[in-house]
Amino acid sequence: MPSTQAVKQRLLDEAPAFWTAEDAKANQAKLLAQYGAASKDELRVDLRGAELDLSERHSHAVFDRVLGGFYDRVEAQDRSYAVLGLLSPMAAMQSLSPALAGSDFVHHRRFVDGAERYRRELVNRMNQDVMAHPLNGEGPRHTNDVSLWAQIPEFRHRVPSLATAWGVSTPALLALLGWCAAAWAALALAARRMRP
Amino acid sequence: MSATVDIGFVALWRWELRHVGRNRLLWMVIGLLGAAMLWGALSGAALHRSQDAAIERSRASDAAWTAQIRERARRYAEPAESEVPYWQDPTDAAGFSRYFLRAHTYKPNLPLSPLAVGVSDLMPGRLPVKLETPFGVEPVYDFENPRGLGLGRFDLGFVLVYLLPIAVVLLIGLLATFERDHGMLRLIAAQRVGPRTWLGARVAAIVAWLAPATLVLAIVSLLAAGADIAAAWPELIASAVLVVAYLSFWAALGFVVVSAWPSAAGAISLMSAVWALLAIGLPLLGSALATRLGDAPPPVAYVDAQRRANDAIAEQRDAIVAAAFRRSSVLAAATERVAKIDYATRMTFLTPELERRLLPLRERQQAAREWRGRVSDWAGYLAPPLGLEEALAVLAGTDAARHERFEQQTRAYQLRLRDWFYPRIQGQIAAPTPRAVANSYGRMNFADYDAIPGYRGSESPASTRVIAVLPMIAWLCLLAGLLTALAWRRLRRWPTEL
Repeated sequence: MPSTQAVKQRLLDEAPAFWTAEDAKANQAKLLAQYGAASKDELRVDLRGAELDLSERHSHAVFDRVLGGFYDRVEAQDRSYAVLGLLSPMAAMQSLSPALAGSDFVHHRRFVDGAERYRRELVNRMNQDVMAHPLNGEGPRHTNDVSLWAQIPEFRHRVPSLATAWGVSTPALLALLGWCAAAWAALALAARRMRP
Repeated sequence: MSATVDIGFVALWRWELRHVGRNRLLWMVIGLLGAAMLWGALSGAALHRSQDAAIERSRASDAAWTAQIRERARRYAEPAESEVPYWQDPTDAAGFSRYFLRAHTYKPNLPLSPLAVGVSDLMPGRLPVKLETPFGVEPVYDFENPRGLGLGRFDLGFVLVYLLPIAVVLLIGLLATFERDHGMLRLIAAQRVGPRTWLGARVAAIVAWLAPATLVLAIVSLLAAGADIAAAWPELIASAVLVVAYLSFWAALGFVVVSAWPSAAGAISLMSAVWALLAIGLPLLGSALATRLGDAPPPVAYVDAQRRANDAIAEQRDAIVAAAFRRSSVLAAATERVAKIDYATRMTFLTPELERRLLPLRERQQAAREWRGRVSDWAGYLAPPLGLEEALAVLAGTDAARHERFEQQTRAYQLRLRDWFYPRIQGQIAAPTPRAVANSYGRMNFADYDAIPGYRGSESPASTRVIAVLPMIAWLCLLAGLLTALAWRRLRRWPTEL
């Protein structure tokens, strides 16, 4: 697993919070070409809003690639640990019990992903509103009211069903069943050997 | 049956030393302990090496960033058709301070850090420093697999705190009850030896083998893990004394148990129960109680309070900035500029105000933290495993107190940066620096990159760490002495039911 610092550094390098002046110029040229405009005055969208939208969507792709890959590795670690249940019933239980309680990383990731999806929908909607009201340096700042905010529903976390969050812990369940069967078999063998 | 003491303790102890030394169980236990120590030390050292490497990468990244800014600043001095926005301008004091300043504080691991991981896997070893962060410390952490954190880390400290007592339990439980379980106690009682001398010599012989073996194995493990023990010899000696005192405590406890002449199963069961109580039960109970102590606002309440304070300040921002202008001899005549200053400059007035409003909540948090820390210190005396764990972390430099000092130094550094930047930023309001080139791309009012204060963390001397663990050493020795005296008292005569 890469260190947290390495992950943060990649995020900082690939999706910086603020553009440099050089990046801003290059991205403005890209946006003008995208909208078929020679200058920002000819743009049918607000340039600042389009810049924000471009920056956000770029960061979404980076987050999915870098953070998503990192979280995939965490899940892979948990899956490996669940396989260790074949060697130890304790390891099997340590994988199973948080999965059943909904407190394992799989459940946490569903929550994080849900919150991130919500954030992206909110940000994209706001940026679209800014883009739809082109000012491009002229006129008073665009503001909106409850009609915009009301389009964004309150965040509600949907707890994943056991069936969908089960994958990582399946080896642990199988291992525990195996241990259980082995214990019963040993008990039966011991009982058969017992003589009054 | 009266106790005769014609055979001296020292003579019997020497005999027991040879006898115990030939026991395969002793060497099996020592071997397993050694393997566990080596694995633990290597595991802790690997974590700390990765943390120290992360610090070096962070320094290198900051240096590369600064070099890039210098290069950009040179280009921005050239004339241009338009002016770069201030948030993209590293030659503007306000723009640089908010959008370009990259400063970190670092807490490198100490030479003896593989001794105990302590809180070093939870608390970050480097903190980003931003001028706006309330009270200096960014709420950052290094992500680790929650399952791994839940299981805990297998380090050398874990072996010494939790597995060493199990080794003592096994050796005393099996070796000091052998004669009783095999019906030979009556035969021994018929010899010219008293129960104190006989059992005391047996337990002392076990300790005489186990203590030096533990120390040698611990030092070999530390060396194998790459610990620079020459640079930390005072801490190493203190940790050796601490471990021997801890081992003596458990041996004395075992001495008390076997002085009741139980069977091996009885002795091991009783000692295991005491181990579970001291190593697991009491710390869990203490932790549950500690979380209920103090008047700490929950983290969510703090975030909520910060959000509310930010909203209130945003509504009153011009009034707050205007009041700050009026208080300043330099800015009092420039109040008409209050609404025109840029965001980064405005934050130099609003950030101290935010801290002022959050201070009562922050003080409650700090008071609760200190209170819990004190409870935790005292809990170490009630549960020696907890006490040893904390003491080893102090010697290794991975304790919570060292991290707290690091946070305090981070805050001091942030204030130093503010003191350095704020006059430069606010100075531009009333008297902007004239540009050398009239139509330069950048504003060119800031070029003092070399003069920005750097972080210089100070470390407590080794003597401070050693002195900090002396009370625990004394306490463990006292407990060992009291328990030995209790066992000695109970061993006045051979048991009547032989």
